Amino acid sequence: MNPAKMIKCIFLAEFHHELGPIISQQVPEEYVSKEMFDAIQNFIITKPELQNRLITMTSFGNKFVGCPISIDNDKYKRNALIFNVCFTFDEDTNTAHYGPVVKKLADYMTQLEIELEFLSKPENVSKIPEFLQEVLDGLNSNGSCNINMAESCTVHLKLATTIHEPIAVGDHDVPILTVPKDVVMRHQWDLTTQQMLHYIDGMSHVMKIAAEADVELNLVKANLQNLLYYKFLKLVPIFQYSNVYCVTRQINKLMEHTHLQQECLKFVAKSERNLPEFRDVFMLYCQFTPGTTVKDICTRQSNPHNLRVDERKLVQFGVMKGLMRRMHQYPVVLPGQPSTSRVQPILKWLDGRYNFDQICCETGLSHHELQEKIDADSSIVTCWK
Amino acid sequence: MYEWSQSCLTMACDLNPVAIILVTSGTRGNRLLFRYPYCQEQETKPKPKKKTNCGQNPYALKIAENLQDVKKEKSSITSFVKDGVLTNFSNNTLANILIVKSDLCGKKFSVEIDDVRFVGFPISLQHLSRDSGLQGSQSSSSRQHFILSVNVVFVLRVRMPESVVSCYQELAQQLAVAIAHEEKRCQYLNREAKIMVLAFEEASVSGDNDMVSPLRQIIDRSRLGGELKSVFDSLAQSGQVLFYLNQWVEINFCLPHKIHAMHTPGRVIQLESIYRYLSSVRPYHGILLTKTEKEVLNFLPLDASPCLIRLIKLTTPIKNLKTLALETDLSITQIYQLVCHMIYWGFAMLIYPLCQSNLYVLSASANTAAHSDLSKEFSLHFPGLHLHEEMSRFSFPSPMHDACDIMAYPSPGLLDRLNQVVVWMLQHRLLNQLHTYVNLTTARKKEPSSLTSHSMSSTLSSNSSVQVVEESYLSVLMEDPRASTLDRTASMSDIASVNSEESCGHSAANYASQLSKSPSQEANSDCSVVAEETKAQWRVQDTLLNELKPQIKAAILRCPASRNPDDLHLFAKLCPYFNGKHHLEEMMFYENLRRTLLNALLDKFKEVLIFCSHEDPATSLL
Repeated sequence: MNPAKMIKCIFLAEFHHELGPIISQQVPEEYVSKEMFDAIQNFIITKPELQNRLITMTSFGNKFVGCPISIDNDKYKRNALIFNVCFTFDEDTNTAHYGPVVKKLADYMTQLEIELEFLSKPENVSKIPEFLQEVLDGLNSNGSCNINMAESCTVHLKLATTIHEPIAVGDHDVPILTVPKDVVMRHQWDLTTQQMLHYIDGMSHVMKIAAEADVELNLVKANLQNLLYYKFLKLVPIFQYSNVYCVTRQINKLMEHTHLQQECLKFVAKSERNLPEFRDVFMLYCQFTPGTTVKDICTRQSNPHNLRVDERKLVQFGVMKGLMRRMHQYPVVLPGQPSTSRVQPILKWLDGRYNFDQICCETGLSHHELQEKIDADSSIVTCWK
Repeated sequence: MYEWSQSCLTMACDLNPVAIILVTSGTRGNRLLFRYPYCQEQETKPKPKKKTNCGQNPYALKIAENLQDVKKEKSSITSFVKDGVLTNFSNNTLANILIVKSDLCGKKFSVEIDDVRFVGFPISLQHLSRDSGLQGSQSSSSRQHFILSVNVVFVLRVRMPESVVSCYQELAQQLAVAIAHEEKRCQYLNREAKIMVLAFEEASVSGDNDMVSPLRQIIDRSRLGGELKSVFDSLAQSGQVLFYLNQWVEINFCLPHKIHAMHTPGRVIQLESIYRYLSSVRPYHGILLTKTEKEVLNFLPLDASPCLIRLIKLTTPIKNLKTLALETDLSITQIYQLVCHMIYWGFAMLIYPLCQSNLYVLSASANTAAHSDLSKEFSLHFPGLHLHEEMSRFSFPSPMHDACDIMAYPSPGLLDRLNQVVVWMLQHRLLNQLHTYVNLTTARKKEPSSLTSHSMSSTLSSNSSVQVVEESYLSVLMEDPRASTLDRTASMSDIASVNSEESCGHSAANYASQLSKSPSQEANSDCSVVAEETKAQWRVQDTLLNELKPQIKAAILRCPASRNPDDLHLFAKLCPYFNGKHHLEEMMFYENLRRTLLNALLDKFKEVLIFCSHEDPATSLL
């Protein structure tokens, strides 16, 4: 997000006791014309039911974001001071992350007015545009501003990126660092994260990391979510030789971008001094098709071992870069068919909503045991997807 | 898992509007004429609100506000959307905020208030009322009420993608313009407004503050009210709206985000990806109707293009667009336009025409849950078959039916049914087709030991001579502006220029010109010691493969098949396709090859080729 010059103008609108709604201060001046303001003023100086609400109005090629405030007090001419500090943007600007800033500024203005009569005192008229200019410059250049208004009041405003729901981390997911470990370590992490970071090797899954680092499982998950938020991590499925992967059409990226090729070769090589040939790596990727397990590929004549390629890293790189995706196996019991007693205990997992990884994790069965049970029963079909 | 599906559900219904509102302003002020849907709570909601606003004793002592009060007030602010219905807005408030000053009429209207967004299209009817006002003054009816402006507004959730919002804005505009037109033609709005106002007045006369019953009456009594309700309902249900406002003006709208995500709930589809998908239509593709022919024809408006009807009637999943163009006697560009139109509206999907050599695999987004609606629908269509059995058949890439299936089901009826199953699964986006793509790379450095000593020596010699020939010829060819004969990819990506025969002829002509030119260059070549026919072969090799990197060229020439001029010719012709972006079927179509011939050729050069199979971006909307 680049805050550069996103805010075009900030203006203070008030309900004047004689003139009605007016723009009392504006920086830069004359950005919003009187005609424009008159057309939209009922969204800026609103009726009581819309006060304290964040209102975004789009018209005249501009977006106006404001929060109308009313302070009731007998000292005002109409027993209330109604005002709104409005930010103006271009029409196509995404203003989602400016909303909280506008609301916070409205709160500050309310506080300043109640404590210092910042808005209503006549001698403050020259101070307000200075203040608005400072806010505008600060937010446009740094994305934040800290303005000292009074002995005990400093206006702190900062643009925050919108926060998404944290990605759920499963017990069987494998975290893998996307940046070198020393770069990650350079940041000042909390002690738990530091302790845990040593065990993230791109091979061990979350549960194992928790056990090895001697950290509670949910703490590990929370830490991983934090690292995921900063994009230091990616989650990949656990590596097993029974896994099936298939290439996606992103595989063409590997053919086209030479820097990705170099990165790939360095990553998948068994030893750094003896890099594999790109042709071989690409050919290995193309061998991942539906129905081919990693084991199948490793037992072929031109297997990764012969080609100086580490198959774990090959898979890791492919999944991380989206060159291929894991195919999951979903066992389903056909309705109306008798099932053997062997699968009775796991029957509730066999409705097509759970894949092998999930069932194994929940029941504690190994992949092999589960496979055997399901193969033995003719009433169960498996769908790979 | 549960949470995931839950969030998917909320995502899916997020595309639906929260409400539809009709407001007018007239000589008697702003009025909300209609809102839908309404909830039972609205009867009670305005009462406490009034109490806080005006129920206070005006003579009561006012305690000075302090910051805590403001904070308390702020925390009491609640969401405007409750259970998917717009609440906390009284009709008067809505009327006041949705009627705009005349400067803003005839422009798009968009206001966000906290968590709801109002998009509409206000239209001024002032010129109409002035006209009728003149007539009115003649008939001296001073009590005449004029509607000065009207606004049709959709209430949306604030977190909606921008492209969906603009779609709704478009629909609001269509509706507002249609209403204004009908008002001008036959005073439709005036007539309907009277019915609506009457319903509200009756309710207020009866005394109780009932907000729901007048709205319910309006739906029954007023045609416009019913029409707006049906717009909302069909948006929520299918994302498509097609009707005639006042049985006169056609309203025609679809929300592609919703239509294309029908079978994969929770997926948010961007408009851009739909457009990208539409731009990859090629003449070898076919179309598959997502509904029966009759349903599609019934949905078409009365004035639909006869070409479209002809196309729908003639289309089958085994014909490609070129064939359809010939059969419907339309140009291929016209076919493209019709097909893109149908895909955008969700009536058709792009497929590669069905044939036995196609390989299908279960789509990653297919719903495998055992007791889904999908499996019920499937067993209705195909009694005796289980959806999951069919799905597991396509766990691994498989053709429409295996050879052993034919043995197992000797009767042609059953085979036919299997094909129908595939069509049904394609229609419900359960299957993706896998295509084979070809990449050209260098051969392995270590030569396979199976090569004979003779070919080894010849590779070496040709290898060294290639270097020599290159130096002499490349300099000449570099100056030749037609050297880039094989670069046909650019023309192919262009959707409009698909006339393959033409471009084929063009490139063939260039080959000929190059071949005819080469003897003159031969004199300049300094390898005159080599036999005449080997020289000729080098010439061919060099001119054909001059585009490629030297090491790849050398690798190709090392393949035994490169010594057969016919094979090498064909291979060189196909080289531009070997970049992982063109599947075998595309090569077959554009180069007019048969599958066996192509497969044989690729097999001969398999040393330098890597095959890779994944789905065609054009036929799988991701």
